[in-house]
Amino acid sequence: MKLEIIAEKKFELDSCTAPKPEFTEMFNSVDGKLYFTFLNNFNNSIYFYDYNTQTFEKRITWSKDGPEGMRGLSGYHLKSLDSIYLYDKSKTEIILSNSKNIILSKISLRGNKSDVNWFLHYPQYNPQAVKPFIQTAHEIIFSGFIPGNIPDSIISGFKFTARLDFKTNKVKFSNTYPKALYGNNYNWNDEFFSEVFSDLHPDGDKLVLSFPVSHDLYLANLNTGVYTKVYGGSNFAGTISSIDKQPNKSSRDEVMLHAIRNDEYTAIRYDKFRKVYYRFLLKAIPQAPVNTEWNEKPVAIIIMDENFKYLGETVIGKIRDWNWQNSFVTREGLNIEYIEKDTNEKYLILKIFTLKKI
Amino acid sequence: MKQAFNSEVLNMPAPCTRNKILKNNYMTFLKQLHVVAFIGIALFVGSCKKSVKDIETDNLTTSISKIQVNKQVKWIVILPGLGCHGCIQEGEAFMKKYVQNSKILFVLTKASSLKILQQKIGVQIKNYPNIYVDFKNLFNIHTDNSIYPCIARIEDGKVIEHEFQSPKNGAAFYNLRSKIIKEEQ
Repeated sequence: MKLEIIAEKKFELDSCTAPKPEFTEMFNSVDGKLYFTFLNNFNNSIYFYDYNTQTFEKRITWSKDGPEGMRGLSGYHLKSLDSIYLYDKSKTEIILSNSKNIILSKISLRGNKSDVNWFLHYPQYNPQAVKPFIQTAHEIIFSGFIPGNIPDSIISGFKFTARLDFKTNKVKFSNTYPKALYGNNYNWNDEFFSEVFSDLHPDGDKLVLSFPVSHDLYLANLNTGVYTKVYGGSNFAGTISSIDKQPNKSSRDEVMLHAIRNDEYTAIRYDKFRKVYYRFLLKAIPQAPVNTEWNEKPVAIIIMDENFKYLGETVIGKIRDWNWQNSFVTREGLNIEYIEKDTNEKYLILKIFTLKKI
Repeated sequence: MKQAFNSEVLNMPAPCTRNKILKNNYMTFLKQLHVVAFIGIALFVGSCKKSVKDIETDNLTTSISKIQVNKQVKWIVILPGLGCHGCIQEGEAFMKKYVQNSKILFVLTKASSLKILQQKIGVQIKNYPNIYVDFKNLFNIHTDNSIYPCIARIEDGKVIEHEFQSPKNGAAFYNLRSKIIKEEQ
């Protein structure tokens, strides 16, 4: 099985919008219309395009300044136009708003606001289309991570998944880093290796977690937190090694080169229309010389059936050509943003991939 | 070392023992020679290890040599598109105010979007010869400071001094403004 491009969607952008948005989400309106929505950080807006016709419909804008201002808007979830959950990374806060940009409530994701060491107890978040807010019957699940190394002293207690209850607006945290991967003071040193990607299992009672350093996938029971491991790796990936140096002895260039020379698993997405999983892999360039750029890494997508049986994998190109973070599933297939070599930045382009038997 | 070796020879033990002693002493001599050589090399390498500032100066010199810099230019301001958000914002605000100043060359490197940058600074980049868009990533500084805007003073194409606008050095653009005002007076 392999992935093949079958279609393209091209969205014309206005003068204040660039391609490669930090966050995108598909949204079904009550009238049955399917919207491709994305965040424009420059003007703090969510843009709505009709997915089928690719025409711009509207935008909702929030202020950056003033007491209600949001300076770090970096992700959102459109539960409905009356309940829009916004994430402000400058305050590590969820803001409940609506399409009239009225702020309804604010929910901190870092507990006691006066705790200056909050980042040792609570995760940080990097919302992307490939790791969106996951909505279940009663909560929103939001995968975070700890940037850099995880000290052994906190690994057992540090929980990286935030779960927000719709009714109470209370947040609880679950899921810890597996010690076998991140314990023993292994030096992973950068968020390249500690960022966690997740999707909801079709059964609805567990998360499928993809850790960048493991060929396995971890199924996390939402009620008990217990992990079950399943193999979910590439047939071509090698050993993923931590950095063989003390954290404070490795420079930024060394960390970057290490990330380039190693395979790195990222997003896991379930395709309910075709009943398959897609797991993204940023492939190693083992002999990469110093000064190689990260965006030279090839992007592969591993295809697995609903029982995680390997079906095949496809290399779609290099990071510099594909904004793989902006990938999502629709009835048509797996949508991935293609980066056009156009300095005018006039269009956002999605290429749609579907399965083909080899 | 040499004396010890010779004294053993002068004692004239039995040939086989002597050979053994000679061999042992020769090995000791070699080992000691290796230690001395190792220390010498380590000292030499240590003395050659460049400071962060020197690495940055070398990087800047190499980068500048690859582009055509107008003789009028006294300052190069390198603005990375990715990195320290607040520091880059300071740089963008500075660029908006001083983009007309032909003594400053603005280098835009790792730019995530020129379209948005043009909106922020309110100018069309193509209309300004003192803006260089670093598509080839020539201005990649290989130290941990690469995430910060860099200000380099140049004379005849040579880097005289440089500093970064960073959380630890928050007055770099302020200082540059002061110097420009002083020069204009």
